[in-house]
Amino acid sequence: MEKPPYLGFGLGLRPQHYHEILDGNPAVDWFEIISENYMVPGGQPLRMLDRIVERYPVVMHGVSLSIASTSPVDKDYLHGLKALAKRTNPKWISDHLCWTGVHGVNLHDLLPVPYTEEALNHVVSRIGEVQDFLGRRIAIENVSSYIEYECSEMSEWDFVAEMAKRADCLLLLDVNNVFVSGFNHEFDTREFISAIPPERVVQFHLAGHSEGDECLIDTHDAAIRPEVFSLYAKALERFGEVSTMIERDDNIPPLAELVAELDQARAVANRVRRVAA
Amino acid sequence: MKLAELQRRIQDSVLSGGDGATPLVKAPREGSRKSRLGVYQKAYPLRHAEFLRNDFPMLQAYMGNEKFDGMSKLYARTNPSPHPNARWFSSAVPEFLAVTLPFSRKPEFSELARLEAAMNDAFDAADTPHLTLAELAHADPTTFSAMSLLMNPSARLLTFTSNATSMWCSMKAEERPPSPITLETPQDILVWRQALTSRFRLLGSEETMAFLSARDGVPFGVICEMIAMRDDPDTAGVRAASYLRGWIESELIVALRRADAKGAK
Repeated sequence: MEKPPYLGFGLGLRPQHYHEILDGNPAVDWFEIISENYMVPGGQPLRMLDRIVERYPVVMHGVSLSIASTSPVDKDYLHGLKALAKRTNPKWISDHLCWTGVHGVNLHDLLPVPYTEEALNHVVSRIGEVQDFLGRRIAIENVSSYIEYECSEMSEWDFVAEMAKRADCLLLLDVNNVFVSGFNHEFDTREFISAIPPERVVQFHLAGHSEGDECLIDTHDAAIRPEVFSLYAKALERFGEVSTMIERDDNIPPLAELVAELDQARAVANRVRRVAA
Repeated sequence: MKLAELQRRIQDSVLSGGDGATPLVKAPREGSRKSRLGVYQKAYPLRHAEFLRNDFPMLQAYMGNEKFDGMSKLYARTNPSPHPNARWFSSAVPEFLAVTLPFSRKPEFSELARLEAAMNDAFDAADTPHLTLAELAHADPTTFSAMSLLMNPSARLLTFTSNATSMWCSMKAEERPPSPITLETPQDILVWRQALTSRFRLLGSEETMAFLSARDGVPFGVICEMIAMRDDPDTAGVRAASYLRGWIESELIVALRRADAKGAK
């Protein structure tokens, strides 16, 4: 299976940083865009994106594909996604293993899937439908979750691995999400990582989380925790060189602060590479 | 349980805050099923309130945080998003404020929302070319009066009965907004995008008439005659030229068209 190219170390593109990026040539190898932010008719968002795309490799990351929803796939959404891909020529397109709503409602949240054979068949079929429409493999990301379902029949990692194999899709491994869900559901994060097929993993997400009353919450509003960097090192040991980026969606700091955090990720990767060599 | 039924029950529970889906959740060792499902239930109104704060900063400043958050929660509960893109979640807020008590008692709420919504829509409206004064100078003067103006389709004309525009301007300047009043004559406001910036300005009744006629594809010569009939005919040409120049400088005109050309409207 041909994997997309290794891109190095990237950041999520956020409007607060447009001018710093375009004026400053920061040490960022690539950017991930939130697809929906640019699925608009025109204006500044697309104008800025066009300028960024001229200088940096870009990948598209969506939040509304709702791949596990039992409502029909939204064809208008797919047309918009395809049009944006034509405009930006992304190295890959990703979204989440989740559902965001049914019956014409979008909750704008990433709700977890019950890990059942029925859900697996459903998700595999939908990924196939989307990949056929887009004419390319998509990458599916594991989400942070706060609930597990009584009806689940298998572990999340077995579901993800089987889904990737049957749907012939790529995987985006969110290291922070593995950590958050592992804490919330008391599973061994190393077991999760060791079950994921390396040949399908094209990207890592890193992010900060916060502590809720009873569980960890994937807030993307703070620096990456040391424990997540440790898990990132474990992931690198298993998966080797994988394009890595930091997501930050709230309390967004100046770009230099995120670039410095990206350097921490680079340092972890260099350390793992030296030990492996 | 079938996946579709599970999703319906979880969604109903998230929207209502009720316990109907709690039995579907596996009991965690720490905490309870209810509290774990509650993470999604609590996040729903908070996330949607944030969408509205991003879209209506001046309305929030005018209403105050507490009232705005209360309005946001009510809106999110009664108007769940039908769009995959959160960008359009807030599109029904102006109408919601106009018809929902107690907000409808203060028409300036809805009008402030309409103004901010129109500016948001202009911000990411489709890109179009725009006619320049230099291009106008090359137009054939013998046929110009028979030409119509293809206006920027993203330009919006609003009519307000309150002083919402004055409030917006004061709050934008971080000054105390004026007290709400009902205007003796309704006010026409043009909202559009110039380059990458959303703008608005007030229109006099004559310019409103001229703008609406131009948008409907009426030939510019006919618009000039309408202006001459409306007020002092001796200055009608100057007034019409002034409107035309203003529209061109504001990038409101996409192109000149023969009045009978397809797409002139």
